[in-house]
Amino acid sequence: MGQITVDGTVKDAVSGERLLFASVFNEASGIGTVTNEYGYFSLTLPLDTVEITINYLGYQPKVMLIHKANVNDVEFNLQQESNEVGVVVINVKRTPQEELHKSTQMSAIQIPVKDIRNIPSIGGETDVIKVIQLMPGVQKGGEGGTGMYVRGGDVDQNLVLLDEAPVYNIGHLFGFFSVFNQDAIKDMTLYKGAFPSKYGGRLSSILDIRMNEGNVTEFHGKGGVGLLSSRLMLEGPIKKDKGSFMIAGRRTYIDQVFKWIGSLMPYYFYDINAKLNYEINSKNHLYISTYVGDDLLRFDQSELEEDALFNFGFTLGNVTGTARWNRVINERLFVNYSLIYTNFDYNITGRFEENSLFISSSINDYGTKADFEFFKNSRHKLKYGAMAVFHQFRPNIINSQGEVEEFVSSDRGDFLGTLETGAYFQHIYSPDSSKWDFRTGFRLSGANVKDENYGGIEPRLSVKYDLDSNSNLKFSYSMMRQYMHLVSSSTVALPTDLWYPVTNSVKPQVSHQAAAGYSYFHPKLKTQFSVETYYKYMKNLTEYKEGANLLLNDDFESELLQGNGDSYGLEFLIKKDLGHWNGWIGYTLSWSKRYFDELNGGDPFFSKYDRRHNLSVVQNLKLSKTWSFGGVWTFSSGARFTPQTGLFGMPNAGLTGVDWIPVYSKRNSVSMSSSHRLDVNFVWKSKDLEKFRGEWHFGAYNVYNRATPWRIEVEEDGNGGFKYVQPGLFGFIPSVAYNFEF
Amino acid sequence: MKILFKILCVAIILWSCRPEPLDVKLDEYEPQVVVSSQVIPNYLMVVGLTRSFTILSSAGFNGGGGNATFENLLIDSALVTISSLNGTDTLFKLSSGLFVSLKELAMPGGVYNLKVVDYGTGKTISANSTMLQNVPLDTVIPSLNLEEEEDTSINLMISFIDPKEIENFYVLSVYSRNSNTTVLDINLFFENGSNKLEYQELIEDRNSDSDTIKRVFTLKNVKTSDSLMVSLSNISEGYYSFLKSRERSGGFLSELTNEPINYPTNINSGYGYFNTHNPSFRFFDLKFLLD
Repeated sequence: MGQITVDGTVKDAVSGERLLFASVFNEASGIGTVTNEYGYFSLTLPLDTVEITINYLGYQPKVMLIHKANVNDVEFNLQQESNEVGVVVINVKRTPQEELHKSTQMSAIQIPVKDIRNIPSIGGETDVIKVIQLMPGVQKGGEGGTGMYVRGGDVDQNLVLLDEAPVYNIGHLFGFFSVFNQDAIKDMTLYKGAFPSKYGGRLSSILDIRMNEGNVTEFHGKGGVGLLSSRLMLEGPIKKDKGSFMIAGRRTYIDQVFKWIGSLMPYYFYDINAKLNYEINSKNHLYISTYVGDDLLRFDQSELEEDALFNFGFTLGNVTGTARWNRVINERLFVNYSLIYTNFDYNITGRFEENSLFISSSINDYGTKADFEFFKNSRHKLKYGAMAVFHQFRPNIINSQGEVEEFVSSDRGDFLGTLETGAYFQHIYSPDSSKWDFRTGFRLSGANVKDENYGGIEPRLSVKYDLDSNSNLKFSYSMMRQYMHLVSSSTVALPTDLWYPVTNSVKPQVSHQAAAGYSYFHPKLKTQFSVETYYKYMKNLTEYKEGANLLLNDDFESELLQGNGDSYGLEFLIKKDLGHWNGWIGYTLSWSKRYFDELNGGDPFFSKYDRRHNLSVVQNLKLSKTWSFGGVWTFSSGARFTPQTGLFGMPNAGLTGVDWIPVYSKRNSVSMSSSHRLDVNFVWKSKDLEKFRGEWHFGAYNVYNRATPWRIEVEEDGNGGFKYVQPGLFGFIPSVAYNFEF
Repeated sequence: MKILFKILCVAIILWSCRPEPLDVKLDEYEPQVVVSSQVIPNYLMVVGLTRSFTILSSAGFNGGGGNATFENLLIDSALVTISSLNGTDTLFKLSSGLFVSLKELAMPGGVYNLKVVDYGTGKTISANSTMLQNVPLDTVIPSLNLEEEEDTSINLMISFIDPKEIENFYVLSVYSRNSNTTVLDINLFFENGSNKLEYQELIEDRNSDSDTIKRVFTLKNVKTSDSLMVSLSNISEGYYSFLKSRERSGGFLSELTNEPINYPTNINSGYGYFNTHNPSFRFFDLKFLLD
């Protein structure tokens, strides 16, 4: 029988924005696909196909009758079912989670940002990273932080992409806020395993975040006013139905709030997202996007009312830029070319009288890539491409003047350059009338550093076996290589963590991960239940030597050790995306160990965030036409800690006194207490005006004010003795915020 | 509006609570025996014994304490023996925490076995140490520079011959003492504790290409009325690691920012280090440089 290929894009009928991962399928044959990251699809169907259906969460399904004369460059415009913010009440045939369930992809979570706006958070501002931390397999770091520890990996093993540009620092205010403005973000997908071949460069996860494109038909805005920050996003056409802009800004006013209440905290952060998109013609599309964000702190003499000449400050921030060109070469071949720039740097300045100190560190990436998708037919789909990125590191620049120069010598720091390259191939094979689906592929990656070349092949495999129409079994294997490391202290939280490349002596990290899972999707309740188990082996992980001094140290390499690690666990997820009552429950049972010959006396030890049990209950409930509720209850086993338990004295080197030497427990041998916390958020939607909608968020963090331990300290017990205690950072914090759209 | 916002902020801050810290039970800390030792060539071996203590104490909470705290930790009652090729010697108590062997020392290569029974806690510890070959100082040349009338700096040139057949580790130390003593020896030098460590370097011979290891450095703020003692010890790799750990972790800021470390030790079921290195010494009275 002959075949016909339909290709085109799926768009929002009002804004003209392309819809990612929308479902396009023919019900009679069961053949279907989803749109790619740019809203494009190509679907080859039997010649006698009459219609195809397009679905996207929150939009009215659309049925298209096929006319053989008009099957290429088709544009499907979907109407939104509801404009209600936050609560998803639309009954559509397929949700993104259902698409993931039906695909070979496992160990992935796809979240449209508009679905998480009810989820409570500190200060009332939705934080995409905090939402990711509520998913099974993702452990949080310290309380309130944006650190992610995925399937027993380390914090530097997550590749966070914003419109394809890596973001090296994902936290403002020492990590308490993520750098991602909810109004500027459209969609995010987290891969914890079963990595598609196009992704590489980190061992544990890929978080792919896409910015809004901007409305190509009308001018609109969105924003919010909270206690700690405010934000505003504006979007509109550059040329109607052809191109648009989006610009979003956010700034905290912590500094102003403290000033108003008569205190001093000269700190603030800001970030700006901007994007332009322009459709040259039906086959060519351009996107340019950027992110700029900084954290700034500055104390100076006048504010402190000091007589002495004194000032201290730091700036820390990211800049990203991406230019992309989508091209439909023919109805079966799609390509995207990208130019990518990323910068992350921090600068610390201090001056006291005649002494001054300047410390700086930076990383700049200059990259390019090409990604091809070839939709051969309904059974075969190929993806292939190549990338190259030049990483330019300046790990530490120190400039000191005055007497302080005796203790901290000036150092321009070494310039370290790494060329990282990669090429990949992926084949998705769905045999006709078979219960099996396969995704096979590999990635070739390499890094060229001074006098050394690293690299190798990274095989990838995903297999799905349908047990029946609603349930399946999946298996995957992924090998990953990582050519840079994050150098950070395990004892003190400094804003000065350093990214450090592989060198002659610091080898690339490598991981092998195998996962197996069962997934069931209830078609009427639109609810997914999945259970996955995984084992991950990691090689060449980095840790500091015991006793290493990190502050102002310009020879990091000599302080680093490399060793191995492994992790394994079981993850459960029940997720309901639709209805008046939706949300998810996620549970993880996991172990994460490290093996370093030169640490802990050579004995294995648990990683710092080896939390045995993690449970998240996330619920959204529509209470009435105007009121809705979001609640999160989390339980997690305590993080691990190496407390000081004792002291001993020894004569000092001059035999003139005593040196007091601390005694610690075995490394990470103490598990802090388990923590649990309830956060709530009530949303009151005010009456819609013709072109304006607003809603109030009344929230509370840590409703029953229970400490989430972050370290172990010693304090007086009030009876003349001493005791160990575990302080928490945040107690009950109420919040109020106002969000609006026009 | 501004006032409303200010009231709201203050109200939120007032309503916000800091949670009560949670208590945690850790295993009760058991004090351990801490060993330090020193060989004085052709004279005696001194073994110092103290006990470690829990951080859940006043001294622990305050990061240690002064000499008074240290004196409370000295082990007063213990059976201390050292066994070597020359037999077993029971050390006599010189003072609280200080035990001395006057028995003739073994030759280089000899192994010393230390055993301590702490009668206070009933704990027994043991340690082995091999006496390494004494490496003499070959050249020690001080030279005096008077930059200003009251400011003195001393240049020191020190060299020694490194026996290349095995890998060696050294500790090179220079002490000063304000002393008018006419005859200098090691006992007088450390008497009354008015000495000061001016320079210390841990040396690995694998970093040296030559058989002769040479150091030239300047000592600042040394007075012409001072005496100097230069000491060179050929030490074991284990003791080198122990000293290196102390060197890296010294200082208030380091204690706050360093990665946690439990110092290497050769004591079974205890802390510290039992070493039997046999140092070489040179003494100088800097007055002679004025001649």
